[in-house]
Amino acid sequence: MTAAPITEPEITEIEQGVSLYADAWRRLKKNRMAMASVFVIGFMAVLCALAPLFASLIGVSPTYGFRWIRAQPPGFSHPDAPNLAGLTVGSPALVRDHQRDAKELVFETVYREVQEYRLAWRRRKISSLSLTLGAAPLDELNVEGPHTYLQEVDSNGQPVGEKLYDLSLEKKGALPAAFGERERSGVIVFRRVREDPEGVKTYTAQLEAGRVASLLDDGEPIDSVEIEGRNVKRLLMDGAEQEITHYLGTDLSGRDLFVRILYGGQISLMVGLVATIVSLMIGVVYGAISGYAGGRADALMMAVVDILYGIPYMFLVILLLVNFGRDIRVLFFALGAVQWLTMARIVRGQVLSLKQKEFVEAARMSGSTPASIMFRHLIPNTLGIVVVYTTLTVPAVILQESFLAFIGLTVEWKGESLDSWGALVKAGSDAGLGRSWLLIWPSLAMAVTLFSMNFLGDGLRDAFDPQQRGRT
Amino acid sequence: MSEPTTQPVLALEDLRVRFKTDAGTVHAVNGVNFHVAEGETLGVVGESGCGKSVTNMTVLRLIPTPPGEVTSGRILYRGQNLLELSNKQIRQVRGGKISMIFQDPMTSLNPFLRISKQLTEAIELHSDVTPEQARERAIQELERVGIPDAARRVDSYPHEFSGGMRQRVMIAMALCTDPDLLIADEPTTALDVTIQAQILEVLRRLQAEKGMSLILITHDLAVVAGMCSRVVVMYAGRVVEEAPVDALFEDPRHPYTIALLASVPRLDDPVGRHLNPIEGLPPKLAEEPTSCAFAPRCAYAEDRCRSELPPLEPDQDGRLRACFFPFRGGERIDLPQAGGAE
Amino acid sequence: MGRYLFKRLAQVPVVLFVLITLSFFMVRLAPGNPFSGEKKMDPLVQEALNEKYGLDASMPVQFVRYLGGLVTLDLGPSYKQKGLTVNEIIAEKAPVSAVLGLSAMIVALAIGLTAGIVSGIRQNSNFDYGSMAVAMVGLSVPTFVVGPLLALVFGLKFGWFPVAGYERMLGPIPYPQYLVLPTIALALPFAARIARLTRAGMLDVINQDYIRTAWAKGLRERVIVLRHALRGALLPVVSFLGPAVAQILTGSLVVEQIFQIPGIGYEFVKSALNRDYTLVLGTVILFGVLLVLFNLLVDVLYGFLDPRIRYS
Repeated sequence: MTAAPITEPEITEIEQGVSLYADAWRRLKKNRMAMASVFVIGFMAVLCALAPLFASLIGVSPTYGFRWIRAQPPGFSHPDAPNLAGLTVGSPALVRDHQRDAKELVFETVYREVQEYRLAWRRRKISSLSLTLGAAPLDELNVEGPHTYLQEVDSNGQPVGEKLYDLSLEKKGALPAAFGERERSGVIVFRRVREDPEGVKTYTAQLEAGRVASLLDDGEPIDSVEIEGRNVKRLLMDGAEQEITHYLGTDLSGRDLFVRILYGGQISLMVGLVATIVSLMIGVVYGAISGYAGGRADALMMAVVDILYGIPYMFLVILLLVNFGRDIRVLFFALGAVQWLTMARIVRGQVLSLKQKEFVEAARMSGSTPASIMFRHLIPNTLGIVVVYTTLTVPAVILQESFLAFIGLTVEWKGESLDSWGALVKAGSDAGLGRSWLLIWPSLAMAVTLFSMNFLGDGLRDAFDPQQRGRT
Repeated sequence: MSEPTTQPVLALEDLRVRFKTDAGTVHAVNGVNFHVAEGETLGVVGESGCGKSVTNMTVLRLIPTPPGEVTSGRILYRGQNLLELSNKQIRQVRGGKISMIFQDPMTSLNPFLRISKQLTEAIELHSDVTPEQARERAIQELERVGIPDAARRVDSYPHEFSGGMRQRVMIAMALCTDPDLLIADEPTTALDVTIQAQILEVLRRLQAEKGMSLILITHDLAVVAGMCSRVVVMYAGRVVEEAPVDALFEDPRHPYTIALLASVPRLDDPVGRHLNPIEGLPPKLAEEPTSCAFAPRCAYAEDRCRSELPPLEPDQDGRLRACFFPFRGGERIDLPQAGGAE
Repeated sequence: MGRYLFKRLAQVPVVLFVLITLSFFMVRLAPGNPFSGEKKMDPLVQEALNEKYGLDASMPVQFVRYLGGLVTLDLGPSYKQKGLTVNEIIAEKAPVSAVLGLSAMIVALAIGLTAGIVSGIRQNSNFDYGSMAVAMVGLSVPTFVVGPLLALVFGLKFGWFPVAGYERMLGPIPYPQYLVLPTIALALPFAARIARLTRAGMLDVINQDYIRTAWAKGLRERVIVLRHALRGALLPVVSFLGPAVAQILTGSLVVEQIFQIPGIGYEFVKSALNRDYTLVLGTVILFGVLLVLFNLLVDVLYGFLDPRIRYS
């Protein structure tokens, strides 16, 4: 007699008669690094999704940059007006998007050497404009009224001397020479009449009754108010101080790097997700059919996969993007087409082994069609491994897209280029040592995200298949 | 009676081994005592997980540490405590003085190396021979275990052999260094019945030829009956009974031994007879047992069994068993006092 | 083994044909023409150019002509680099990339195998945790991030190595200092992958019964690891070598760009962006052939390592 004489039920199996998924979830929860990765990925995704909110909170635009704040280091801050220290005479001050509805907008400017100040506006929605010297607004420049004038006030806000100019739009021709250089714009020119004892005078230009301007884009005729001066010391909106801090600095075009990274993240994550879904659909269906069909069809379908595997795919993707445009849909297709091969192999292997299981046999006996067996029984049961592999595909795709962006193949949507993390890293790598933040921050964002995704993928695999711990 | 007159080849004294893992501690071996005399065949039987394999792996310090840990006891090989040897010294014992063969011959041979390499590396390690001599020796050993055409097949890879042949190769590998003691851990469990008999025959023959001692670990009582002179029954990491083989089969003393014997189906059983499995499950051994570990499954357990740990001690006629209320000649006897026969 | 290898060998021409066809038509069916650049061109000149480069023929004819050229290993003239053939450009640039790729591979194997083996046999040690964390970083931080960072820190900041450039010492081989940073950048993800694979393979193997047998023989740990465990542990690494070569080829595109190395990878990117069609095609085919050869080599190596495959 040879068989083990003693019955020995496996106690663990009896006690843990839970589903594969519950079991996997339990194991995953125990994996602290993987759980931390879930949080990091979630955090990053939310941050990127909220990019527009952050942009408006900070008060910057992801697409328009300002020459005068180019390549400023992290933490750089300035009044929410463009005339900064070092600014040359003649640069415009802008009223930004979020300031256009302000009841009261006050630029406080400081000048020392410059004799001549000009206040200009592009008239579209400006109803009134007033200037004060010192803290308090005094005299009103009513644009729409017959008279617009400029009055110097002393430090107590009391008017000093005569009104300097009387002006209105109707009297364009009467304005000083600088006036009217541009269509539909008015320029107020005022001279410094007197210096205070310290030799410093503060002029305040104040705009009232809102809807003043939007952003200036390289001289495009949009609503704006310009103060041409040496220095905007501060900007007050509705009495509150306005200041913009660029926490991660600005890029070479004067765009806020933090906001750019968030928008870049949107692109990267979206590309990763969509291309993965494309590969998922092709791969799962192809693999399931191949595995289910078995025999010759299977051999043929897998031979096709083998052959496609032998091709250096990234090079074809590059050719595709170069020759057929960098439309983001082309990219989704191209990257999805690269990734589905592995997915197909994995699903096929799973289906092949599942096919032998009793429940599939039972379904077949009870007259289920092959399609229903496949979609009701086989594919759902491959879900675990598919989830694992999907988690590992997303970072791979993100990496590939960024790689393409790095070599100059930035994706486009409706002719507009979408700068993903790869494009930002590229810009940073070209920027040099003095501007290292341009390389470091986008790299970090990307690395942390990919790191977490890989870790989560690893954790999921360990959870679903403890036998496979630490593979690949 | 079971006291050895000469020094035993191997003696285990109060051996305790535990494993500390993330899932908790397992006290696998909880004070094991037994010995093997010169030229003797000792059977070690028990259910899976009773600690018999761990005990014998510990002899050659093959337990991975961590998680494994020997917490007490001595393992005396010819009077020398193996637990105190340096790594270098224990390596000389392993495969040299004491060899082991394992349960699954399909996986116990390295699939990447030729048989010749796997044999000669052991020979060259433990004796001072030239590579040519080692190879000669390897071929001889393969012939002795009954591998046909050994001179040619010595250069084969393991996957070219059948399971039974591989186990023969394993035996040749274990014995090619002329060890004093062979520990065979379930050597036939993974094999077909007909092959089992052949392998046991090879073992018996070579043991006689070489005059070595043999520890045969098995859960197969038929193997024990055919091969061993003395038997140690283990349960929950402890020895519960030790006896000469005939005595054990004729007159088992410990209720566990009785249950074990009763659970084996016999050829002369009437058709339709139900098997008699032992009810219940072996303990998990998260703690060292402080009472009789078999008590929860024992039909004869008393209060005392559930509160006190019965020591392994001789009966009036010298038979060793760890039970407060052992059987004798099929009749249950009550001992007057705990540890009264000391 | 023989049959298996034969099957793989039979796939080679198919793979190459698919690759050539795909890339040929992808390049040729694109809107525009290599000579219709930004400037308006005299139609007569255009016509003359088309005729000279055979672009006036129908697409299938062009394809057959191109295949004909390939058979004699003639990749045609470059469209953009006047007076040079694609063969000449490849002969000039490819050896440089080969030097870089080989050195990266050697470094990656040396680091990856060592770290993987030690981590595997000293599981859960500090070394294991440390090197696996580094490996995870290596996997997650792409070459085009590592490259610029290396250039920034060790090139610009400390000035230990040249930031970019390639000064030849002997043929395509440069002075070593030019090779250090690009090699590290290229090797890192590859080393990380190898380390993880080796470790996993090691863990798998050292829990095998036959390793226990080896211990029971009284062998030293070093012998057990090197003689008994390593081969089995290396199998997954070997099967990774095929994809690894593809990875190194693609990696070289950015690394050569970052470090201004005059190799074939950088040349490919430039020619793709320039639409130098013949050069692009030639390069893709070269890469394809390399990849196919390496995959074959891996199959042979696999069989060499595993007797169970060799003899079946």
